Amino acid sequence: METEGRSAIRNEHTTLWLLLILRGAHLAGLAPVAVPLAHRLLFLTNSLAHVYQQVAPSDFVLKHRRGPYYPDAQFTFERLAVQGLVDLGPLRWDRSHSFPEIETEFSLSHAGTELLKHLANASRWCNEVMAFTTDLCAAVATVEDGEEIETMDEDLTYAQSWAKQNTVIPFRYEEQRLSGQAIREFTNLAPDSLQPNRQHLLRLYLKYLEKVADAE
Amino acid sequence: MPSELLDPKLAVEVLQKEEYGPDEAMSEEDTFIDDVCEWLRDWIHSASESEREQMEPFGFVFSGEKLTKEVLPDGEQAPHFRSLKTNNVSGTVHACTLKLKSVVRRTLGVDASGMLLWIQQTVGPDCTAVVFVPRESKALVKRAADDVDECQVVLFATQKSQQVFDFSQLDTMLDRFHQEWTSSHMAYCRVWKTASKRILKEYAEVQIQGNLLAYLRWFVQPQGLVDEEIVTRKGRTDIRIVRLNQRKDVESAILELKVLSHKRDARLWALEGLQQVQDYRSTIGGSGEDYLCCFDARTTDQDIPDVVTACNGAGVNHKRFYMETN
Repeated sequence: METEGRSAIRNEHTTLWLLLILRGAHLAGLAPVAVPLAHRLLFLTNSLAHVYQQVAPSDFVLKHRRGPYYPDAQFTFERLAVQGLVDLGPLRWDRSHSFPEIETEFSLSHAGTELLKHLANASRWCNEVMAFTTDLCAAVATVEDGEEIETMDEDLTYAQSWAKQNTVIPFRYEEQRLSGQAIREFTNLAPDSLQPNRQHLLRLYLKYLEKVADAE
Repeated sequence: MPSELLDPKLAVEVLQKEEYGPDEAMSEEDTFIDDVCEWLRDWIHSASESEREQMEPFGFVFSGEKLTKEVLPDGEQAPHFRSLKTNNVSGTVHACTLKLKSVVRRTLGVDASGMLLWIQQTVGPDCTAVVFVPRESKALVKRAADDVDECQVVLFATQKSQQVFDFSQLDTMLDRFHQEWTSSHMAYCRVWKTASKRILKEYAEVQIQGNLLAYLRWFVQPQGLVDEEIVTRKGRTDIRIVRLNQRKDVESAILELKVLSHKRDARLWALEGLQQVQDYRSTIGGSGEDYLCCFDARTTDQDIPDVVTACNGAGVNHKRFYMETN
């Protein structure tokens, strides 16, 4: 029973987290969010949640052939669409890869917006995660249009050289969270007396990843 | 400390290119206002004065609780502002996301107050709006919690007046702030409860500090950082401006604000402010300019000799701004 209880909480956790990502994406002008971007946003929020003292719904990522991917989250996005909390874009086949896949876009629906408005008034946790997901999406939105995917794939946790395709990359423990460590290094590099705030650190990190992607 | 994970060259490039930003994370609303003001600053420099003269006010609306298409349901999808510096914006109102990346617009063609009223009545009172008046290079900012009558006014430097900020301009900037915000009861900063009797509102100093903070931020950032209520071991000081000089050394200017009134001993109150500036320098240190700014609400427009002497002796700039109510 205890396991079932924990599982139920985890499901709620993931569901709300995804809705908050879609809200952040909308506010940052990234919506509607195509599936590859949605999974990358989820991954970055998972790997950087500790910067905002939050516990992410997942502490690992699957290095799928098309980038970071969470099979459970894909199912949750679709379930939220059926529930009317998420709007689904047109379904189409993406045949640009050797394995054709169904592509679509997600965006927060009116009902989803109303639900989050209600929860933000009632829950401090929701408010705090909302601030984090909005800041993260706003940081992603500072990357040049069309460069978001390449930039996010340079994330230091994700782009570790040992992690090959279909590997699961864990980041439960501090020493595994290279993204968070890199962000903290910006604090050391900034001039004394001018310490970037956490919102600014996210933006600096994304701009850094953009430069790394450009350099390759 | 050398970086182990980051490429130091790329990281330093990013740090040099990105603005410093405020010391605390900004709310969605502040971020939106900042994004709009940043776009407006660029836009002012790309539009000629004659173009601006002929343009009608235009506005930007944001709501964290509504989808963009719901903010202006009868609006049309428009190109985002990031790449369009010369967008035809005259007389239009735009529902935008952060970074002005997703835009829905509608032509309105009314004056600034008409646009604000329309936004409040049509979009809803809980939205954030920035209405820009091109002829005056002035923006009216309505926050979600405020009424249209409580708009904050933001003035933009035009091409002629724009220059690189350094501390030598601070004296003039403070004089200008006083002239436009606090010199009279009709100025932008409404601190008087009953002007005819020279009775101030309860939190006049807080209000002046907020206005001065916003004013300085528009002019100083991103070339410097402006923050407030800096806590030191001995107490706190009101406003601080931090910038890097040409040698890349950090310099700071400290501004202690005091409102002098008949309610308390003005001399002691001003000297307490001077002590706070000195406490900052003795605990935090650093080099730069220090100011004691006294906003004078007393009935007589007269310097307090002891305060002037003490400031001169301590190397602190003394500014007294008399607030008229005639």
